[in-house]
Amino acid sequence: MELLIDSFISAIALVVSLDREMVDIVAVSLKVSGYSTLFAGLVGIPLGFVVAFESFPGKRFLITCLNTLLAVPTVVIGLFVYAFISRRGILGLFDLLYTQKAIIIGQTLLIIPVVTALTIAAISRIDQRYRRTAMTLGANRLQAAFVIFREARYGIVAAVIAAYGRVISEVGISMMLGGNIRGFTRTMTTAMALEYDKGAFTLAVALGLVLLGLSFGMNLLFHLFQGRIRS
Amino acid sequence: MLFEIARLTKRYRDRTVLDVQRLDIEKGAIYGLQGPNGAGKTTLLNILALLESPTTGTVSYKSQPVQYSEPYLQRLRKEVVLVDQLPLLFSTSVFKNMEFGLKIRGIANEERKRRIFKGLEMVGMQDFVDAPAHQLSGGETQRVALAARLVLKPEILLLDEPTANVDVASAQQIREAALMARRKWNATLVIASHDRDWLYDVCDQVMHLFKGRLFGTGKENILFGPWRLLSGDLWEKQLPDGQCIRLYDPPESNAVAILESLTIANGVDFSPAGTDTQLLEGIISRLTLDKNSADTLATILIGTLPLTLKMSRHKIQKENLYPGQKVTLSYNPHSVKWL
Repeated sequence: MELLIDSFISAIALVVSLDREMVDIVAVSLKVSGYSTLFAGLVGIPLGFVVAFESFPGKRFLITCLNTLLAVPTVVIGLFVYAFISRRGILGLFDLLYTQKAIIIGQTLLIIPVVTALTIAAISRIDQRYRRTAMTLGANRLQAAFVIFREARYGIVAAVIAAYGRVISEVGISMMLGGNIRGFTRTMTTAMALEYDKGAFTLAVALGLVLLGLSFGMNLLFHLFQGRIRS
Repeated sequence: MLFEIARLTKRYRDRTVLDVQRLDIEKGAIYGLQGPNGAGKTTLLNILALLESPTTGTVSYKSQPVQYSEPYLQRLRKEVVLVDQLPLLFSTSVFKNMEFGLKIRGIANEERKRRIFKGLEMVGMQDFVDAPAHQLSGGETQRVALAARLVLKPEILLLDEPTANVDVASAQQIREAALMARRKWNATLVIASHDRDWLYDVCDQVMHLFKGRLFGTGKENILFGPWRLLSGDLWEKQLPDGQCIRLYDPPESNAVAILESLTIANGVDFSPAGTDTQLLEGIISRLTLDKNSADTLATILIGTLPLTLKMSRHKIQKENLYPGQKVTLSYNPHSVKWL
């Protein structure tokens, strides 16, 4: 218990003093998670919109597949991407393994289904009469689609926030594809795992506090947008 | 002629919800559409609004057959607009809602603003221009939705039960604003409504839609089942005030009848057509002018059932008929059209 209390006090001091190593690790985490969320948003939002907006054969099956992918473990994604970007993989010549780009690729694949599925849910919640209303006012398909998108905007933002929350706290992909290289690919979660292995809890607890703070912030934002959806 | 519809049917799976042999919509006229819920009024309006295509038959707009391809329909939808029974406003300000259709039509910024303020004035909503649309009441929403269509100056304005879910004041403003469209730019109006007095007052032609079929002028006296067998071929329906309507040979107990031989029986020149003649006691609730014939339409309440009679002004004067007067109606129970 004494160890935990000491570590906690030292960790707070580390956070307050903005320890250089901790700040670097947090910056790497925010950067890779930010990029992966951005890329997943660029793919997942349009994909989710098209799936929700259009009718086509196999739509229900596709949604079922996407929902299944929500539960894929990060290590499975890590293994899958590793097979492609390792030296023997078909993308081996790009030397991506153990780089931030590798983490971004893995995390992007992890949360594309999250963004897509939640975008589908957000669009599906919108009353279909909005589309009809837009059409009665002379809108073409694209303009009617934009109306639906605008009505679902809070739900889509909530989808992106949820996806960001998922990647900022994942450890499997960052460890397997990033390699936990100090000052380069070390993220909050991989650093915490390493510090735990070393038996040095101070930095681990400090990073845990920052991660908790970020998660809390994400959740606050998420609930704020969820509240806008309900209102 | 704006719309010409011929041999049109609309089916959903195996159910035919609309079967219109012929319907012509002339420019600048006001058409009323009456009929019970589920008669096909909204489906017909959707087809006229080019939101749905018919299953069979032809629809022509300005003498050109309508092609059901999106780019073609989009062009026509800029001339034909519909106000739904329960219209939605986008979750933004009233101004932005009003602006949407104008922007699509490429109206310049200054002209947009001018039309928006004018349009809101027409429906008495000028003080709500910056209000969030989702904070408006049902009546206010309906008025803004109508204004958002009026500012587009459409050739045809289709109104689906525009006053069904609003208070008296809102209904009044909606009626006046809709009629202004014809006065100001000779718009054609097609109004589906249960408010038959309003339709008789303003429409050049009132059509009755029942089970997807158009018939008559909307002035027919329609009687819904169920009918109860009285004796032999004679069936009766009891009215809420205790009186009974008796008719011969309904095709089924829930059949719908059009009563064809209704006259006022307490007049000085009344003589029963035969022993079968049936009588009903009622009270004149309203006398209105029939715009098409210059005759008078008398609405007579039998309990809560309104029946309509067309009479010459001469007869009204001769028999000194006035609203509130008790009258006896006679009808021949054989003279009935079953639907």
